[in-house]
Amino acid sequence: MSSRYDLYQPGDSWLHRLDPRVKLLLAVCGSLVLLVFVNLWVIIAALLLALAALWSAGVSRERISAVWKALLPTMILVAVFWVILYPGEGPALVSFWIVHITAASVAQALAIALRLGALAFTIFLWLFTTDQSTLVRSLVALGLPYTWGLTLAIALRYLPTMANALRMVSDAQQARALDLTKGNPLKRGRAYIPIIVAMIITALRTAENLSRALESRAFGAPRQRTFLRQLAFRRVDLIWTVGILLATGLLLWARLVLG
Amino acid sequence: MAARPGLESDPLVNTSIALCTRSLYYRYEDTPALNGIDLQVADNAYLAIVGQNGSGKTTLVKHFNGLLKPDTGQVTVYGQDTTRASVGELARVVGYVFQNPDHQIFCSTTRDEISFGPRNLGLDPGEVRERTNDALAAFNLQAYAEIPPAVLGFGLRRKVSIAAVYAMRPRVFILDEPTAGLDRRSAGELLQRMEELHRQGHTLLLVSHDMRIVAEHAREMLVMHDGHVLAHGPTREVLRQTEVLERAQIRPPQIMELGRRLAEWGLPDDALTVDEFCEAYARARKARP
Repeated sequence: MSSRYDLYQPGDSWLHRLDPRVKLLLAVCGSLVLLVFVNLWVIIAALLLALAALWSAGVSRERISAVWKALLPTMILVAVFWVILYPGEGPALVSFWIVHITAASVAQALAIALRLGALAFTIFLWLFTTDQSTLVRSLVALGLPYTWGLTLAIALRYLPTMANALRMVSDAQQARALDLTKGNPLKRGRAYIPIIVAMIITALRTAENLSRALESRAFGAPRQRTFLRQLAFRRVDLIWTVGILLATGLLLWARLVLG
Repeated sequence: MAARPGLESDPLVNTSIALCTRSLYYRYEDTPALNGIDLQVADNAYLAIVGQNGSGKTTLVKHFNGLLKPDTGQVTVYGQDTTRASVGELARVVGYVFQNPDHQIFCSTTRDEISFGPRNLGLDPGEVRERTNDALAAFNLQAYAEIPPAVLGFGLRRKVSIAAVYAMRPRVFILDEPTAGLDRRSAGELLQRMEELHRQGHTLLLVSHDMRIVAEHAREMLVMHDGHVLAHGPTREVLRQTEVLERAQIRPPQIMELGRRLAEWGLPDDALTVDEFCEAYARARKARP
């Protein structure tokens, strides 16, 4: 059930075992590099690297194609607009009305569109291979206040519960002859009010009960928290960190200083 | 068929079979939930559906108001195929009271909450008002008519949710665990109301885990297990089938267990209620010198 609301794909690959903080660093540095470079070849290389990493971590093909499916409309839109609006230099391949399409603009558009994909997969390297509780724990370890981390964890944990409640509320109102399909869009929009209000009441009640349950289990009592599971930063994590920082530094230096 | 008090004259209501399923199969994604259900529920039945969590009780009853449509097989409500009617249309005939009242409460007054269903049915304002007042009175909710139902206690919220369905005057009532979370007195009042509805000619489907209530009130009983019907018949006869109950992991009401243990002393092993047991005990005492 939860898999539909959770990006994490369970596994025990090198990427799963890597410290979540290192994966976060990889996602941040990878994004930085991708945002600085507009070279088509660099972007294709990054995309292939990210896909190869996901493949080696055993992330299923369905998951990867789902990301492609979600991104494709935006990528196509961005590419088309880029080609039309930024003519670029050199002889026009195609010319009509005020639009001149050049080889340079096509390459540029392709780079911009693929950059979206590369960025997404760089971030999904982190999200596909880190389960929610580890993810939250890593953010707390990086200095996020524990209460914020817990709030985030609870919000993620309650997504499937709330989706389930939404289905129940919708069923219950339809059983009282609420019709969600008839009438114009405005009327149909109004038909959702009974569902939304009942959902808000349910959410508030859940939140109140949950906060009482947390407090009755001594949440917020000790000043210094201890943790059941500590994140362990191993030698391999250190090597990755140094590697990522060096590679990012080198690439940024190459781009900014050498041009 | 002559109209009974409290019942809508409805063109759909023209058969003595209220609900019917033929080889009904249903699955949630990869989990089969109903594996070939053949069932007939007579008009004016009072049927309890029992079984463990996940045995398919709720999935089955959700087919009767069209919230779920069969993967294969057929479900009819008074002869009408549910695949040819919307949930809203079926709501005229089949009222479904959900387990959690909070899944439906949204209005700023109890009165509005109860009139929501009748208004959806497209009734004229006078009729809506009359039915709302009737439902408020039937469930002793007049004192709370102008209060937001969301702030009422759980027992009252449950009553509001049932009154809201009652005001739609459906021929069939489906109640999913209506007594869960109620104290004994509120539960007793509710069961009394259900008896009245039954007397007025309504068909009642009660999904429940409480075997005492099932034994005392339901006239027939359906035992479900793993998406199959294990037994269906008069309550007393089904409760006698110890093997079926064991397979479905259902314990008969305590009074029946007591009767079974004392059977060798001449006490009845199939008394459904404490009263019934006491009467039999008194008779047995008298019979002995």
